[in-house]
Amino acid sequence: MKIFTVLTWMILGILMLLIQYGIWQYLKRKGKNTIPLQLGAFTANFLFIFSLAWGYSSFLEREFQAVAMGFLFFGGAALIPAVITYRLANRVSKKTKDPSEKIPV
Amino acid sequence: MANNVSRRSFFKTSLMGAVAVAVASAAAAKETFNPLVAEAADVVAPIKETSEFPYTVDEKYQRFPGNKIYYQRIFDTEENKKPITFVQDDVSESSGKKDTGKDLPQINAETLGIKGRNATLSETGVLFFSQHHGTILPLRQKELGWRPVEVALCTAAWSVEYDYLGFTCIGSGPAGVIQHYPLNLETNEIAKEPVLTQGAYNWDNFRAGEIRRQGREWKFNSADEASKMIKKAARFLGADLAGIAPYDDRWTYANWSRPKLKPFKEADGRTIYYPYNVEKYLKNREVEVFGLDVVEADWEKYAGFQPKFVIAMAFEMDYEAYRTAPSILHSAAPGKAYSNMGEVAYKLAVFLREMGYNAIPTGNDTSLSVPIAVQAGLGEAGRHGQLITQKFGPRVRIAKVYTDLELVPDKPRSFGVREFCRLCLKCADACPPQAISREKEARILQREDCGPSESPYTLKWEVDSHRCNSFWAYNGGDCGNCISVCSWNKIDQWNHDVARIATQIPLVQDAARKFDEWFGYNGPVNPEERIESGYVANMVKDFWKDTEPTK
Repeated sequence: MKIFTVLTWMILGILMLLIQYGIWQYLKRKGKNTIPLQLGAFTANFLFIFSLAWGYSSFLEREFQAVAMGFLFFGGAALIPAVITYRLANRVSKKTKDPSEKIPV
Repeated sequence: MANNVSRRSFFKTSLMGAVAVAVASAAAAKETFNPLVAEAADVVAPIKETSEFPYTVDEKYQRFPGNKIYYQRIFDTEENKKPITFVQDDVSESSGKKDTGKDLPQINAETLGIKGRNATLSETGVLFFSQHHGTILPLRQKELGWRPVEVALCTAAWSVEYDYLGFTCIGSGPAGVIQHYPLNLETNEIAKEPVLTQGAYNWDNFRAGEIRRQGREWKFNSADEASKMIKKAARFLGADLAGIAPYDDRWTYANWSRPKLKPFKEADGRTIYYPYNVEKYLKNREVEVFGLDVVEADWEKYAGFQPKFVIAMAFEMDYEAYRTAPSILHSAAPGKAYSNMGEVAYKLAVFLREMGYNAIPTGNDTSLSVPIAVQAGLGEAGRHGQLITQKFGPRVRIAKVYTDLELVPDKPRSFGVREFCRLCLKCADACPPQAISREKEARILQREDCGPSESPYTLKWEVDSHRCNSFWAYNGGDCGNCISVCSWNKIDQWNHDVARIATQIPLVQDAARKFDEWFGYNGPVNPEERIESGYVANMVKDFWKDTEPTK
């Protein structure tokens, strides 16, 4: 195995870890650091890194269409949990009317 | 307290530690990752072992005669008297597509300057061989992949098979025939007249007998130990896969055959033996063949023993060369494998003989290779009639070594090929002359379903060898599209194991072929598109550009 390949796999591993750390920090800042949201974000993170790994392996294989399709297919699939998690993390909770507001003036 | 660790610091330290561990272990990541995914694939997509031969063999089945192998029939004088025929004259009704193969006999005849009739089987075969061997340049010599440089590489790859193994890839046997020119040791001159001898697949068991006579026969502790050591030796000597099958008489050819040879003078005065009249062919493309020498298939008579087991070995063919199919460049891959497998089979036979056991190394001669490889657990038989292995897909060639050493046979293994082949049909779609059956289910073929060079009464899909080889003659070299585009033709990489896991999901299995096409593996399936889109030309350029092989 060439050093370049070792470094690539190493970078992919570190990248996944850093992204997950970023997700954790982000959800914490939003005050929504719950297990379901962590799982949703992790799924997106995993699929994103998977698409990079697929792309890299296909590149080594010299299957360039597979590189592109890997990004489209797995990267595209990563967008679904990413968007759901983002929307849930940024959902503005519905304002319930204060009982005093209900009192007709 | 100053030494108290805050929660924040604890997480920070943990994170740094995790990164450090990731970095430290990353060097081994890929090596760890690959086997794990492969193991996961084996768990999710399990391999089933069967004790019996997995495909139905009807009671009407008879051993296939060696002189009916397509490549042997080329040199049968009777086959030069009538035009070649196909199992189905027109496949457009069954395929729903235009029949792209039916005009090939006429085109091949016109290439040879024959008007008013189709080419005979002999004419078709000689037209192919003469281009494949470089006797004449291919008709497509100006196209990338068919240029003289690619023909030269192809001939080089096949050279050991031609010159030292005796060209057994066409099913010639027992062993092949090679012609070598004796050396005068006093004058160092090379004779003009060759001697004809057996090639490396030689049937000479004298050494084994000698070892036994001297009482030096190696005794294994058990058949199990012998099997393990023989398989280890096969792998060590160069086989990519090795398995053991019990000797099964059904797969031995009913007779053994080889083309008759006649001498021709070269420009330098040397004599070369050819199986067809090379002078007439070079002069006016007239095809004259000399017939076949056919002998009874008798082990005791020719080998001096009755085999008990067969060691089947598979040899990987080059992935990059196969991507250039149907160019003549791709044929360098089977040529290299054929050349290699003769050497390894010979070495394994010598190993056995040196221990005092009889051994007969064989290539395509002597017996049908695919059922033996299936029995030895090397893989399954696919729609295109070729062995599909788990590791290399159909990109393998098979050699066998027969022996009387007591061994423990392996069991046939199934990993989903047949189920997949029912749905995929990629090979049938990629076949330029539409030689591969498009029927969904494999069935027990009857005599009328097959051409003379196919073995009926077994459960399989039909492949019309006349159609296949008519295209080879037109193409100037063997084709290889069916192997190249096969969904199982992948390199040993983790992402393909992931794909194998995915094919266990019922709906994904139906769509697996589509996914394979969308991801672009091994290029366009449509044979015309492979050429016209520039895919083959690009792959030929890539082949010559990339000195590091893709594995």
